[in-house]
Formats: sequence, structure tokens, C-alpha cells
Amino acid sequence: MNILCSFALKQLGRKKGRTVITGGAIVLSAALLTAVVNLVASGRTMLVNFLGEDYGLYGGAYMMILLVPALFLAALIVAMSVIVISNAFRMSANERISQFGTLKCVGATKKQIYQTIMYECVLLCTAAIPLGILLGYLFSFLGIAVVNLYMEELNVLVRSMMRQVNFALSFVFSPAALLISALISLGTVLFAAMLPARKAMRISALDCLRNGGETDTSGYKRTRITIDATGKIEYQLARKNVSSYRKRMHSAVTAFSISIMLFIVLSGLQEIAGGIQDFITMDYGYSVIADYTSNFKNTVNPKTGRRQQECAFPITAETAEEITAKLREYEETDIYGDGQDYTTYVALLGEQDLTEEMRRVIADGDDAGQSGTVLEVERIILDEKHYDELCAQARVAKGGTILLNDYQYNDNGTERHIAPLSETVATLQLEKADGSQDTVSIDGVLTPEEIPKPLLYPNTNPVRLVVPSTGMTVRGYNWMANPADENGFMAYAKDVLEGYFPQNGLDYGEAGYTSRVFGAQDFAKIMNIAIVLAACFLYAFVFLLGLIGVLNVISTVSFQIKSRAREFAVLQSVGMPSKAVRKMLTMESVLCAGKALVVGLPLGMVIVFLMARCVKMLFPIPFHMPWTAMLITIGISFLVMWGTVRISARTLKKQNIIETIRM
Amino acid sequence: MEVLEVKELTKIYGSGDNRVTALDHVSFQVKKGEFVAIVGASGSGKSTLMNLMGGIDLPTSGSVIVDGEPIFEMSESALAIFRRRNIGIVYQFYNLIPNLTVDENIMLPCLLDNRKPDAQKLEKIIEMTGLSHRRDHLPGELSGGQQQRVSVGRALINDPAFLLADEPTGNLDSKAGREIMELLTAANRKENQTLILITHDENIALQADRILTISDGKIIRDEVMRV
Ligand SMILES: Nc1ncnc2c1ncn2[C@@H]1O[C@H](COP(=O)(O)OP(=O)(O)OP(=O)(O)O)[C@@H](O)[C@H]1O
Ligand SMILES: [Mg+2]
Repeated sequence: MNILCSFALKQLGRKKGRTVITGGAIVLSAALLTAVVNLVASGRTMLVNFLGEDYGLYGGAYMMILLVPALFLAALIVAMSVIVISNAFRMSANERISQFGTLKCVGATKKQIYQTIMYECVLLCTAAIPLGILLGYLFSFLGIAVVNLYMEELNVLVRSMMRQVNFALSFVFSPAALLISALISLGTVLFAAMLPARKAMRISALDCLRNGGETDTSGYKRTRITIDATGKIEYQLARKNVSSYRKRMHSAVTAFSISIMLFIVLSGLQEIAGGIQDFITMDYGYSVIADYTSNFKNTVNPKTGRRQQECAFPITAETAEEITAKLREYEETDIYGDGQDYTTYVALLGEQDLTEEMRRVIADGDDAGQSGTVLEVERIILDEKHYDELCAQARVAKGGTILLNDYQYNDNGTERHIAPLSETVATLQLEKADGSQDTVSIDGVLTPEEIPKPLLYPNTNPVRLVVPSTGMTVRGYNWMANPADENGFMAYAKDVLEGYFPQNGLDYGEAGYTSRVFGAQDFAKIMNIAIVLAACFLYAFVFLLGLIGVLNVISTVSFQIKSRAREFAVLQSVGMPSKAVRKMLTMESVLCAGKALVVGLPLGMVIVFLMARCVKMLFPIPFHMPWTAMLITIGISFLVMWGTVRISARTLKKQNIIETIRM
Repeated sequence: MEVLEVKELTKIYGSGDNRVTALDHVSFQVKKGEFVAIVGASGSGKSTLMNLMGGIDLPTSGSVIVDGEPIFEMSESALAIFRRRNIGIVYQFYNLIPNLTVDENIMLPCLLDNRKPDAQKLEKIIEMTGLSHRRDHLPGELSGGQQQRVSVGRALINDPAFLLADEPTGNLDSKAGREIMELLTAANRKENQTLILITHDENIALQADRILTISDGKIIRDEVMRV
């Protein structure tokens, strides 16, 4: 065997503890990379099955949804691995610096020094990367099994709402994926080893020898902290040491901060996802919803240049009423029927017609559609029974128009309801997209508090009118019910709707319309499954990445303590009790954990805050920082550092001052 | 008056076939202000003896009494505290803390007691060691001889009952070695500092008041050169 290679092998054998830890880090990072690549491969296969080879119309978008997070995760893994693995090789190179000096004296070239470190790396890789890839396949199997566990439930829900789907993530063995994982892993590790190898190569023989076994002296930076008799000496020394050895601890602290940051970001994401879920989970007071929606096109009226909607198969109020009657026949179930038309009219209003609050909202808003005092009108029709009830509530004679004076909007993440029109408005001037106008008199007004629950859905127009249904056609209609036998009712309702709107086995929307029957909570359930799945994966990911970071902390700290054994022996020989030495080390660990937290926590918080800001622009969700997660993070960080130091310091207790000093 | 009393000191390393009796019932006393040289062949037990006198190793049997206090009856912490106040140790290798400055290294035993050394005392030691212009340097920026002078300074800062030096010149060239010896003998003569020095070098041993010769873990000769 090559002499350089055997040096490398000896070094690996001599430092078994670190070899295992470094190998572990390489295994984990290769495993994570493999898992990510496999997930992309499997996800791609699922998409191809679902959408066809060319992915259909939105193929690019779907591929991005798959690739962007994968690239992001891969980048994180690579960054973390480079930090951790190059640190391990740096420690190893530092230990061998006097060996390098001797080698150089007897004529080893720079390249040979470089090679001996790279051999160490290659030897480790040949063992660790195949193992990592195997582990990665195991992760993939497990991950896919977990996904499929939930997938069936998801399929059932989606089927009831949209179409006959059969999402199944199957394990795909792809040689290309295997090759990619192996190459990225190998590249990462080689790059990581190259950094310290190049550095060691450049140190002159003289420096190697002068340091005579002393490791990297660049750490012994003069610090601004001077020790004196003002405070606890252990604490002062600890502070000084943290400052002197900051370069050596740099990688551990960085890896640690990244883990902390990721964990905080993840907890924040979960919090946000929970908020969104709460927001979209609407409680209309009904458990089953049947709906009909026609396909439509948004066009521009050539005469006025105004936006209008062309509906392919609008539903007439008579048809809707008929269906309502049919559905009521099932075990005398009460049906709440409502249909909306959002686009036919806009209201032309004077300043005096608007409330103070509404004027402010319009002034603040950058919503181009709501310019001036032209507001979009929403016309709502109800089934006869509930229309009559609403008329009675608003004290309006049958056939009257009722204004639902409630405008809901997202005020920087907070959901607000205001009354848009002032009480004095008695008639409204409405205009169609083609420019023709109508006048409507308002016969009754309901305030936000008076509006029945089923009419408090999101994304309404500012002017909401409940109009008599006679002669109306609308784009979509909902029938909501609280049947005693939900499944029976759903099957019955499906039959009824199929009778009116035959799907003929066509896909979602292909018939020019869709009609569905589903549980009111189904959306929330799908969302929930998605969130749980994503959280599972991300937490597993962050946990494993954190593990790489913690491995790094362990190997750095124990290396630190071992390489400083002489220093501790000197301290003891001049009369520092070993208890005080351990106390000093504990303080150092607390300071280091503190440093990692000082960077990681605020960074994580800022990212979470920014994410929350972005999401709040879309959804009015309440949000607070993931304080519990932060407390847990702080606790774990100190515990990991403290534990590592405590365990490493145990070896100190055993070793003899004399032997250390004799070295 | 005796500052140090060594009684029946025995140290056995290992067990079974590897059993080495490094010290075999060694007894002697050292008076205040004495300069004692300990000489002997390599492996005779000199360093073992010195480590025991310094309280950084434990004997198999026997006792070491410093200023009337049997040091091995103290707890680990108490012994450490006792050591930093009463015993100064200088090794062959300089053994300084790499990230502390010259000043801080010298003051270390005081600082461990949370007390500032007497400024005059510190000035005097710095001056004696000849490092006034290097006070804020780190050990890595000093020559070997200078580093060893810092160790001597550190050993002297607390006016110890005695100063132990194990081949303090062993790692230095003759000039630097001479400087260290001058520093040590000056402390002995001017400050009446008790000094116990281990050496191979006959010329150095001859500067002492008394020479103890050790062989195979036993004191075979105890010569008083001058009184
Ligand atoms: N930790 C140890 N374990 C076993 N034997 C030891 C140990 N330390 C010293 N010895 C043995 O004890 C004996 C005395 O050693 P010591 O270091 O005291 O010698 P020394 O007189 O200082 O020699 P030198 O002049 O070479 O420094 C030697 O035979 C040595 O082999
Ligand atoms: Mg010796």
C-alpha cells in the first residue's frame, strides 16, 4: 500500500471516536441526499401517472413544486455537510501537523501532504457513502410507506370532491437517481476535505515543526479580554477561551445555529399552516354540501373595456329550486340553497353613499378593481324557504331586495368586517359590463351581526344583495344540509345531481360544469393530512440535519478538550482544582451554546416573521412566534453543549497531570 | 526550620511483572532558604520524587509535610489551593497557557485565588525575568528561554514555601540555561527562596548548597556543599 495511504489509515484507526463520528456525518448526509433524490424520482413518477408524460398544461409548475423544495433541501444538506465534514478533516490535519513537518523535512512534496489528507477522506467515503445510500433507500421506503398510509384517506376525500383519482407514491428505483445521489455525496465530501487539505499543504515545514505537535496556533488570537481579580476566575478564563478558540469552535457554532434556525423556521411554518387551516375551515352550520359550478371564461367587453364573465352552463333559479325540493324529500332533510352572481353588476356610488370606514379602506387599498366609488356587486339568491325567512328577519315584504351590509377584508393579516354602505342609501344605480344601467331599491338591510351563518363565506364583494330568485340565473349553486344519515344523503344527492347534470364519466370540468357532494370538513381534512405529512417529513429532515450538527459539536468539543489537555494540566499544576477546571469548561459550553442561539434564534425569528408577513397578505390569520419551540430549542441547545462537555471532561479526570505535562 | 519534610516516601508503578519501584522509602528534610540539587541517572526516580513533593501525584506510602502540613491528607481541592499558595513548580517544558499574556500567566496562581498580586511584587518579578518589554505577548511569541523565565516568574509570584524545578534548563541552550539558573539562584540568595532543583548537569548541581544523589529510588548520598 502507498505510504501516504497507510498514514491516512493509521490516523483513522488511531482516532476511532472521531472516525466514527465523521463517518456517521458522511453516512447521514449521503442518506439525506439519497432520500431527497429518491423522493423527487418517485414524485415525478406519480405526476407522470397522474398527469401524463408531458404533465399536461401546468407541467412546468408541478415540476417546480417538486424541484424547488428538493433543491432547497439538497442545498441545506450540502452546506451543513461541508461545514461539518471539513471541520472533522481540519481537526485531523491539525493533529498531524508535526507529522507533516517531519514528512516535509524528509522530502515530501506539498502534493503528497495534500494527498495524505485526501486519502483519509477517500477511505472514509468508500465505507460511508455506500452505507449512507443504503440508509437513504431505507429512509425513502419508510417515507413512502408513511405517505401511502395517509394517501388512501386523501384519495377517498379527493375522489368525493373532484374526480376519480388514485394518488400513490410508489418506490421507484432509478439508476440515474442512484448515480446522482452518489455523485453529489462524493462531491460534497471531497470538497469538504479539500478545504483543510489545501490549508495544511501551504503551511511551511518550519511552521509545522515549530508548532511541534501544538495544533492550529491561529486560534491563539490575542483577545481583548484580560483576566484580573475582579470576578470569578473560572468565568474569566472561560470567556477568554471562548474568544481565543472561536475559530476552532466556529464550525460547531455555525452548524448549531443552522440547526436552531431550521427548527424555529419549521415550528413557525407549522404555526402558519395551522392558522391557514383554521381560516379555511368554515363553519356554515351544515355538515354536507352539494354544489354545482359551471365553467366560465373571463373576457373583456369590447365596447366598454370592462371585465365580464361568460358562463357556459349557468343554472336557473327554477332548476335550483327543483333540486332543493328533491333533496328535501330525503328523510325530510332541511336544505339551505344559495347561489351567487359576482360579476354581472357594479354599483355606481356617490361619496355620501359610503361609510367613513369604507372610504378609508378604498383609499388604503391598492385593489385596482375597486377604484373610486364603483364597487362590485354580488347578487345572492336563496331557496324559497330561506329567502322568506330572511325577508321576515329584515322586515321586508316577499320579493324585496335585502342588502347584506358587510364587507370583509384582510387588514394586514387581521380579518375585519365593516359596513360598507351608509344607512341613508335607499336605491342603487347598477351597471352591467356592456354599459346598460338598472336601478334597484333596497328594501331592507342586515348588519354583519344579523347575517345568517351560511352567508358569511369569504371573498365576498363589497355590495351584497339578496335578490328575489325569479328569473335569475347564476354560475354556481350550493345546497347545504344536516342529514341524520350523512352517507345515505350523500349517495342520494349524488344521484339527484347526476340526473340534472350528467357527468358521463368525464373528468373534473370536462362536461362544461362540475357538481359535487362532499362533507363540509373535507377541505380541512385534506389540508390537515397535507400539513401533517409535510410536518412529518420536515421534522424528520431537520432532526437528521440537526443530528449532523450535533455530531459535529460532539467531535469538536471532545477534540478541543483533548487538544487542550496540556493546558488543563498546567492549570491544575499551578493549583486550580479539577472541579474548577470542569466548571470553567461548563461555562465555555454555555457561552458557545449562547453564541449559537444568539445567531440562530433571531435569524429563525426573522425568517418566520417574513414568512408570516407574506402569508398574511393572502390570509387574515392570527400569528404569534413559536415561543414553545424556542424554549425547547434553548433548552436542548444548552443541554447538548453541556452534556458533550461533561462527557468529554470525564476523560480529563482520569488522565494524570504528570503524563500530560511530560508530553 | 524545616519547610519540607519527606518521610518514608514510596512510589510503586504498575503491578505484577510490570512492577517498578520508582521510590523506595525516601526520607529527607529541607530547611528554609536552602538550595538543594537532586541528581541521579536517568530513570532513577527524580521526577517521581518531585511530582510527589509538588502534590501532583499520590504516593504508594509515606508522607510529604510542607510547613507542618501533611499534604496527602488534604482533599483534591484543598491540595490544589494549598499548591497554588505554597508550592512553585517549573517543568522542563514551559507549560504556559497559550492564550494568556505573559503578565496573566505570571499572575495566574494569584488570580486563581481571586486576588490581585501585589503590584510591586509583580513589577519585581517581571523585572527579574527581564520581560518588561514583553508583558503583553502571548507565549507563542516568545523564545524558549523567555517562556521558561515566565514559568519561573509564575512559580515565584506567591512566595512559595519552596520552588521545585525539574530540569528547567534541559530544553534550552547553554546561554538561556545560564539565564534561568541566574534567575533561580538570585531568588534563592536575595529572597531566601527555598529551591529544589533536579538536574543532570554537574555544573549546575555544584551551585547548590546541598546535593542529594538518588539511585534506583533510594537516596544514596546527601552532601552539604556550603552552609
Ligand atoms: N507512569 C509510569 N508508569 C510506570 N513506570 C513509570 C512511570 N513513570 C515513571 N516510571 C518509572 O519510574 C522510574 C523513575 O522514573 P522518573 O521519571 O522518576 O525518572 P527520572 O529520574 O526523572 O529520569 P530522567 O532523568 O530520565 O528524567 C523509571 O524506571 C520509570 O520507568
Ligand atoms: Mg525526569
